[in-house]
Amino acid sequence: MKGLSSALARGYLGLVLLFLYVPIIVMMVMAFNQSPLYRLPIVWDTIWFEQLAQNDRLLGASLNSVLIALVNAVIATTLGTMAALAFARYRFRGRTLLQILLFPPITIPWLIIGTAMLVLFFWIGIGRGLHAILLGHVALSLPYVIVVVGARLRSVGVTLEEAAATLGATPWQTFWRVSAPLMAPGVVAAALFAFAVSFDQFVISYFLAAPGVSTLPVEIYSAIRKGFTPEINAISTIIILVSMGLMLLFARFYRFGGEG
Amino acid sequence: MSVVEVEKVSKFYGPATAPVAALDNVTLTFGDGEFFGLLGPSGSGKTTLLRSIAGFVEPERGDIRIDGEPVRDKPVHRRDIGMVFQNYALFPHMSVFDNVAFGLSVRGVPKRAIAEQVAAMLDLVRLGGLQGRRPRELSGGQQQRVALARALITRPRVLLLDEPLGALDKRLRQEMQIELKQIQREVGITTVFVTHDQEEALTLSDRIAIFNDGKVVQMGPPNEVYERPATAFAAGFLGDANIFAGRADGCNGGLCRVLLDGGAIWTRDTLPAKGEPVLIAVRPEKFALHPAGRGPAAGDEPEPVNRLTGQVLQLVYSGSSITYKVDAGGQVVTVFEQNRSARPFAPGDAVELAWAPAHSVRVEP
Repeated sequence: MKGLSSALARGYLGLVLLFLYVPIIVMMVMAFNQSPLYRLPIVWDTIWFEQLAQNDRLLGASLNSVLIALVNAVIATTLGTMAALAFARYRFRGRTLLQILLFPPITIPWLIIGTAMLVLFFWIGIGRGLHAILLGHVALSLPYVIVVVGARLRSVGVTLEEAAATLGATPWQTFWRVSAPLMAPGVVAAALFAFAVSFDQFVISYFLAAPGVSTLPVEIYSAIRKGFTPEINAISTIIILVSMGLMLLFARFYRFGGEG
Repeated sequence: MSVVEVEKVSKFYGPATAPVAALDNVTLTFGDGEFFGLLGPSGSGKTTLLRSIAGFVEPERGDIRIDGEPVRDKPVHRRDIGMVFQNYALFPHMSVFDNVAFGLSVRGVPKRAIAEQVAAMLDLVRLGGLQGRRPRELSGGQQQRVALARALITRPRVLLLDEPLGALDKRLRQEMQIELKQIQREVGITTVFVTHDQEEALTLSDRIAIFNDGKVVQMGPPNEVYERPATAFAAGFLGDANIFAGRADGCNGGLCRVLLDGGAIWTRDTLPAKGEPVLIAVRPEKFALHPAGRGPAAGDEPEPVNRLTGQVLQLVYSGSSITYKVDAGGQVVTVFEQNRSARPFAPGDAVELAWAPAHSVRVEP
């Protein structure tokens, strides 16, 4: 009986993993197939990677995406960490209201946020372009950063900071020697989160992209509309490998420092 | 080596329209090198007072002075205090060495001097050899000692202990009590510690203060507070007590009589005017328990002996001692007896309680 349920559980897990990973693996394999029409048997080739190297539009969009994601991660993590600290360590007027207001942006459909931003940016003269996309992404990733860093701050608590103060540490020393190292895992996790939110973002980027300048998801979308080329498989393969690397990094950092 | 004075300190919480006093006009002086216990139920204000001395809580009224110098405007990090927290609050990302060194390091003490002082301090708390460990690799007792070493290394003017032994199991706690007292003596530091464990307070303190509802109910050396509780609350909170409610009768040659519903109690305390209500507290171990009719005769003693007859309701056996619940004329009386008799009383036995008038302590309600 126990053997049977265990086998069932394993089988179920296997199916879930298959369902999740088969499309990705197929895509990665096809990136190395010479035939643009997915003909089998596979003829291994790196032709699509070579073609990609000459596709300036895709490469330019990728560069934009990475750049925006990086800058977004820095800005959103800095602002978000400061906000999380304020929420966790100070009592001020409107604190609860502000905390509640953090969540709707996560739940409101991106399509609506994108439209709203487009309207606002036009109205106040910011317009479209990479700067507008960056603004949108920062606004979008802030709540995630505040939630992730806030959770870490809550688990660390204030007692350690109080202990540092009794030992004669100034608030500045307390922050750099005690608070900062203890919240670092949360901050790193939040930064990776912010990077991912921005790098993955399609809807808002699509709305706010100026003609001729776009990010990778937007570029892939327009490329697919014009006709699919396996170069997209190639760049997707690169992205998957990079994000898996980031994931591993994330896992390592989150363990660092420990909860003990 | 310092004196800490707390003068008329009040702290309020809650809305300004209906403030609740966490500290209500508290005045206490902690003497130089004294080990002072703050005892009371949770919410009684003892922790608020400790945190006010530390500087985490700002009292609305009153003054706190360390060595005569008011600390009102001094932030925590400039008060020159040492504190041990309930869960030790060791820095998890630092080694034992770095934890203990922290106070010196933030003061900019040279590395060499730090290493020497930390080594000496770790020897004092018997943790030599563990300096490379992380806090989570230590046992509860070891963590406690690291916390103590970390608090003492800066030679603070006053050591504040917030339920320092609360997280340890009973046996370890008793060991640490002895050690804590020893270290405190050796260092000679003025120590204020908060506990809700009455036994701990009695064992460790030179003096204790009992808190209730933000006020100091009673203060004094442990034996005095225990033997002469001032109020029914103090009597019941520090140890067990039987409270008898009666009315003042009269006095004769230093002995006064209190009339109960079904008898009378003699006391050596003074009484209010005849007929006024009086509360008398008697500790459970002060009673002698005799089989009914076999108690000491009235003429045996130089002074009258208090006597109550009753019936054993229940006994709780705990090895060296036995706790009896005795129904004495409608009032349930708790009695501790050493486990000496060959045959303890059983429920239903008729018994006689006897005790000396000096152990009838008049308390305020």
